[in-house]
Amino acid sequence: MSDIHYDDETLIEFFTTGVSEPADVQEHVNSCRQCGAFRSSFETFAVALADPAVWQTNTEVLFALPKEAKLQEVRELASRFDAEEADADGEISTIVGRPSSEWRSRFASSAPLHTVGGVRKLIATAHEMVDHNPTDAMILASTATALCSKLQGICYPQTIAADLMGTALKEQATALRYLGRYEEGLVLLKEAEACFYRGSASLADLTDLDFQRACLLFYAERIPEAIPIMRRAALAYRQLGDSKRFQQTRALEAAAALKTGEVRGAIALWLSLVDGIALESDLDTLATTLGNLGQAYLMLADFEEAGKYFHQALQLQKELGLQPHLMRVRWGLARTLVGTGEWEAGLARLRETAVEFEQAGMFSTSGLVKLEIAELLLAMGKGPEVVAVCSDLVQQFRAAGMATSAITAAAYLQEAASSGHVTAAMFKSVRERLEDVPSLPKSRSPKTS
Amino acid sequence: MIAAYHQNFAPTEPPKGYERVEELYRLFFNLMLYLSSQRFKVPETDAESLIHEVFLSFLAHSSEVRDPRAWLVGSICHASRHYWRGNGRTESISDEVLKRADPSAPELADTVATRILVQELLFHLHEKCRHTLRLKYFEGCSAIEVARELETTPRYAEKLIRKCLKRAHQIYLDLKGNKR
Repeated sequence: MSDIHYDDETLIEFFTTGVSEPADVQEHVNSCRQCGAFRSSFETFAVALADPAVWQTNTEVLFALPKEAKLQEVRELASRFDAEEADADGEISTIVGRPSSEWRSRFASSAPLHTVGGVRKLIATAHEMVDHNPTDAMILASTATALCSKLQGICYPQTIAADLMGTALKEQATALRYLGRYEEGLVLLKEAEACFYRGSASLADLTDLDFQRACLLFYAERIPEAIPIMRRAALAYRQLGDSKRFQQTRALEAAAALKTGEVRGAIALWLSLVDGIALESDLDTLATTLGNLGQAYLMLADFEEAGKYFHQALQLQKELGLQPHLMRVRWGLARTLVGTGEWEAGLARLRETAVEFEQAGMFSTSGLVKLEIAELLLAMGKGPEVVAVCSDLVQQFRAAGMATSAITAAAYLQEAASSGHVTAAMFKSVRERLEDVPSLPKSRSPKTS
Repeated sequence: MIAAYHQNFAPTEPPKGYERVEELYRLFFNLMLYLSSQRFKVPETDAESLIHEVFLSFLAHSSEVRDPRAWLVGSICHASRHYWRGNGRTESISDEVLKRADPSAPELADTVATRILVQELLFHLHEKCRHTLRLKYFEGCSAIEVARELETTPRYAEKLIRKCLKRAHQIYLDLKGNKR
């Protein structure tokens, strides 16, 4: 690259006429980053200059200023919310430190919480809590909803109170999702949507609502309804300049595609997202995506690729310390070993995984792993051990108070195994039935103190 | 066994940077007003109210906003479309306008922002230069026609166009730098 640059006028002459004097201007511009940038900027400018709208538009718009009263309102509201949140902060921490049975009455009589800032803080606290304690998060979110209805008479802009009510309802729906109460969550989202439309109907609120609705539909196995909503949400996140959420929503769409049997489509979509997710340092989504890629390759019986992605996911999940995800990745690795013919090693890993799920209270998932163990033992010709695993399964399901259909299915297998008539097809059939039993956080017990 | 994605996107901490909201209000007011009133044909007074609503909503979301410009542009476009589609509106706007102005064309905000900058620079440009560029770029005159209009030689007209372009481009860069 040359250190000599042409002056602006020479470059402009070249850009506008295509004629250059001296003759090597084009060559220089093509190889010089600085002059290339000048060309790019000039071309954008020249295109705008040639746009008739530039010359015709009412120029008053260009020099209009925001009204001082509006700026003043934003200023005042901003500082008011700030102060209200600060007031509510300590109050919420104190109340949440007490038994959850006391929360509702204490929140109801706490003046600092009867403000927009207070309710917002309460919603944020519920959100922080939902991942590890959805029952308590539900109490906080429903309290926030109740407090919203008391804000109507206080002097806030009407749209703010309506938007806040929508947000509180949305948070309740999120907690319901974690509790496995998908249909109830969907009903609340309808109410939330109505609130948002009474409020500002902002793109951000409606998009977050779309995302939650898509998640609930996904978990409720209503995949064909979920996919278009995921796509709409992804598009909106992109418009809002939120590439992180755009990628997260697309990753969820890939999971939905996989559920409909489009394994290769799901893989292609996840692979197209991995670099972007890594670039955002969104480790949660990256770890989940890598684990899902492993699972998808496992479904294609591509054990090499499956193992590769499971190992990457395992590494990340260990760093993140998210136990349920970590256990699922270990399960994937165990299945990969079985797939590659390393049955003894696979069996040992499956046994470890079953115990882990059981200890975490994820009984139906643990049951699925035990079914795989029994099926593998059958293939290995270890009939007596199959009987033992099946009877263990029945006892475990009974002890955990699982659905009657699950217990019946397990008992049926135990009987067939005892009589020596159990087949691989029977395992498949029972597995399908068990997969319908929600295994997510239903079993989590509420925190009482 | 497919793991789903659990992000919920609600704010996990109180919104911060309130002091930025006013700055952003002033900075993007023209762009948002232009989009709403020129692109979506929302009457100016109503467009100003929509912008205000967007900023009130921004107060609730500021902690999650990653790209304020894109967020505000996306939000005002959505609010403008919602304005026309809202119940109880007696006026109407053709679907074609809404479609054409759909911000899903990612370059829309950039195009409009550039156009606003160019309009602003024309305001700052010397009257003679503005007239010269108008002849050349709006009326589509050749250098000879510009020369005839300005009662000068074609060679001088060419030189004048280049000088005006250079000056205009410099102001454009200055304005762009200030708006970043």
